[in-house]
Amino acid sequence: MRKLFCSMVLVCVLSVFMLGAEVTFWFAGGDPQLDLPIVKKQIADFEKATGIKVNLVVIPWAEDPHTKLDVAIMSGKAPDLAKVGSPREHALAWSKSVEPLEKYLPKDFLNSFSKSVLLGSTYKMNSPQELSGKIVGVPYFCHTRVVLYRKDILAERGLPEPSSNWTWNDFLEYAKRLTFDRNNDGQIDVYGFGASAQYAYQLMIWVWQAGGTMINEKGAPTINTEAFYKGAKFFVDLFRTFKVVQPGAVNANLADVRRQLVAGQVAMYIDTGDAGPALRKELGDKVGAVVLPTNPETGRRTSYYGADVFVIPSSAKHKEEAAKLLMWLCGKENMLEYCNVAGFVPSRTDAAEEYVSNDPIMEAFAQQMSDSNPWVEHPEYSAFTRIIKAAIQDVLSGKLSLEDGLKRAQQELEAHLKEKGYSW
Amino acid sequence: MKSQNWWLYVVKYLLVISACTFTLLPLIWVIVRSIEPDTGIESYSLIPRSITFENYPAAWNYPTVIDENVTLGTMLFNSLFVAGIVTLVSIFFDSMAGYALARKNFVGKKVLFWLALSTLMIPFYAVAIPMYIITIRFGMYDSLAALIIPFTASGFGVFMFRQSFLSIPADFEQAAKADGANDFYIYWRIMLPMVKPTVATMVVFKVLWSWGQFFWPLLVIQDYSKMPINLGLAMFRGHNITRWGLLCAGMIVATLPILVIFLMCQKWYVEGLSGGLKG
Amino acid sequence: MKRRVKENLIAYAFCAPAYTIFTIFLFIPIVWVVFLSLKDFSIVTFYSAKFVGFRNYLRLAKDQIFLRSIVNTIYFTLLYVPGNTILGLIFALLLNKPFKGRDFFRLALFIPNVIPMVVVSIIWSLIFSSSTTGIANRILISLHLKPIEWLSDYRYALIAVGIVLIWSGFGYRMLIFLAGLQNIPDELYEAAALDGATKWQITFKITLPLLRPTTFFVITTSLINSFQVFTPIYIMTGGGPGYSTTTIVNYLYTKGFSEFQMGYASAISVVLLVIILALTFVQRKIGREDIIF
Repeated sequence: MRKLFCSMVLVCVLSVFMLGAEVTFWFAGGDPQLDLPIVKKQIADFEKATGIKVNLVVIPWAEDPHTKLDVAIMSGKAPDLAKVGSPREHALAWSKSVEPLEKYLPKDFLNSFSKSVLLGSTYKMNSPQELSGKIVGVPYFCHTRVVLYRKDILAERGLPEPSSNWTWNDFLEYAKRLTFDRNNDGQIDVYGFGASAQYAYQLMIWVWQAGGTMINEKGAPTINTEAFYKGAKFFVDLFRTFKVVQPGAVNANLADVRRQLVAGQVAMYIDTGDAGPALRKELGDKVGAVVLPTNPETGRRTSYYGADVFVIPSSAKHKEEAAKLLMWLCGKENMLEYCNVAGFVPSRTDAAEEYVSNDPIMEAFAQQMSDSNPWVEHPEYSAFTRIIKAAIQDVLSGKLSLEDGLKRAQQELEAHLKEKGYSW
Repeated sequence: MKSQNWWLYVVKYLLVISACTFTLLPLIWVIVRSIEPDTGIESYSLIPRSITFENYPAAWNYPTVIDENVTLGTMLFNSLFVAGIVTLVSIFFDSMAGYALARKNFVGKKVLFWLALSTLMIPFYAVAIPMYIITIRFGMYDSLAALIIPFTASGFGVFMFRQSFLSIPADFEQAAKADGANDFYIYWRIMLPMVKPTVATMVVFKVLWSWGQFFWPLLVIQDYSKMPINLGLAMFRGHNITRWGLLCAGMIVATLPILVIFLMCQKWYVEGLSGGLKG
Repeated sequence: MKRRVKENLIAYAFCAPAYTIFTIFLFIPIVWVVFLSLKDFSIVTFYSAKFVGFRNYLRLAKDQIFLRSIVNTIYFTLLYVPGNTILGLIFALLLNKPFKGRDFFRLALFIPNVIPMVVVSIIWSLIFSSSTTGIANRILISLHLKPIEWLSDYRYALIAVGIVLIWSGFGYRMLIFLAGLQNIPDELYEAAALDGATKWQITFKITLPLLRPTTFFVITTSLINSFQVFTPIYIMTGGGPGYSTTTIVNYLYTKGFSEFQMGYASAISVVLLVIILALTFVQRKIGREDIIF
């Protein structure tokens, strides 16, 4: 009897001890048939090498991992390490929910990352002060946007495949030539450019290329600037003046545009990394990729990149261990192995250099990374998205002129930011 | 006269058949996708390009990569378990309250009735956060209890049971009372069996409702082995790519049990609702 | 006297389990939400919320997008409630009397109700694809009509969402009407037929008036549902184009969950609850003889 009691106590103590050494890791996204097996393998290796147990929790994007993390942090159930979609780390930093990472990560480790990408996860607001200017997330990989196109439709219209130094004018020319009525029945069968204004970045890439921004150094929204207008005008003209954009683009889902490319109803569109393999499966060699066209005035061909970043919640119980796991997964070899499977560009410079896939589609993505912007690095990023998207959609629907639309967005944003206590 | 009837018949069939086409067409699309090879880019077509049954085992085993012990079967079981307990307990609780509201005279009856009705009017997203906090304070975080206990009573159920108890003649109760039976016995052995159709109706409602939950389990469940099937289906939808073949296969697997339950209850279902609506 | 007390106690005992659950998981939260609407916080800053008095409500009164969302919700209701009620009623009348294939038809019309809303929404966003290959547009083309940019045209987007919800919901209303029809005694029909009434006369003079309580019930519950519409809009249109499909609950979700203004979202919840209560009350006044409530 006593023996039983003793062993039960022992089991209890042991299990408490084991729990103490367990790192909980929330992984947003991931595909069980693609990248997750790699993550699992790397974690198993980590457990073997360090003796730290890891509890991996995968949260599909459709399950709203960001809300889930917010709720967990609020109720004191935060994981020790979490992978989130940038710029969520800025919103988490605003509420002091994540740790500044310089404390846990050695300098030479941080130096191995691309400067600009790391800057994207550096907190830029003045409050909370202890996080201002600190790195609040470590980027795992980036996924930028390039132009994907149908080689066969280009050939049908007698167009050569675009080169990486094509310009806005070339792009417009291509889009015009690729918008055509194939069987002369008076209906346009193919549209040159498949856009989807449901995504604000589809507008912002042109704005960035024209030199515009969403926000200036002082933190004031800059939607009504000359440069913003110029970039937005090019995008709007594709719809309203040149009519080279497929019907429904005002609120189309990107998946829909992708299908239309497969169906041969659009000839070019802008999309991210994991679309490449999927399109390849459907279209084989007929799909091509090229970096975005260059703005002849500014010489920029800026694209938008998203990044998945690691954060350590400030209420985490095992921060040191979490940092160890972070460094393990972001080691050169591991990151490279992961990115090769997932089809994203590694955020470490040394890994990115070796990320030479002989896949021409992936090469376009790697090339585009040299001129890519992250989404606005502001805790209120989703208000930026909502307000800009709504304004541009109203402009594209013909309910507002571009001037009025941008003015409205500027006013709404200023009011929103002031309400949240920001000033400039 | 005869020819007129014949025409009415044709019009009736035409209307009904076109309505069925409207409701079934999207479902045919789902079935077609589930037996077509999955490439990550869905197709609009109602005719499969080629036929494969690989999607079903693939969908079934999809979660095993995340947790070796979990398949869609585990999640299906969770959903069935949750739906089963919720249905059983809430029918018991609802009918008890409905019985009192219909058959007893007491202070505050009207208020209680209106309170039950008002629960129908609360939008879930409005109370999600306070409800979440209360649920985890009870220590139910990441447990099936969190999916069950908050939903073991519903205003709709109380309302439906009250209406159907109202329509039962008082004689039955009085006879039992004269025999000296206690209140619970009357409710349990005499009254409840008389509203069996309402019970069948509520079974369908509760199962359907519990099955369709999405946002709530998303907040309170973390462990894959405790996930309901509806949440499991979210795995097939990525940030950019949706695995349509797998999703559709998974969906069919997830829908079959409810269809069976509906078919089993269908006979009583319509009858039960009519009891509730007599007023 | 003692008997009355006992009777009361027994009744309370019967009500206790259900109302305990209601109190803990619904009434306390809703009262809590009223308090939260006087504060400023996001989900993560829940425990350090600032008290701001009625500021959220004052802001709400001036919020153009909120006003827009109310208008959108009402517009949606005008599609959703009549659509579901009328279709449900028509098919209940058609499928009431036994005929060949009736049970199959009933099942076929009800099935969409069984499919989770999330999945319904993604299937339909494909059907409403603006391209000429989307099923909805292919049907229009085959009827020699112009294809429509369903989810991208601010004139049609909310209608498209309405169609989806009618698709998934009218079968359920049909079942409720069928149940109501069971309550109409056969003798009434027989008597009318003996008096030489035609089928139309029977339908309009007997069936429909006697179905009033059921109709009232269907309209009330549909009204409540339609004011709470969220998922299909969230998935199919994202509230766009512009703000043309942003409904009250969509705006509530945007503010509370993605723009970190839970206090403001709570104020929206309170206003929404008041609107629904008011509507139910008005409805009750209008249909007061029909003793359903």
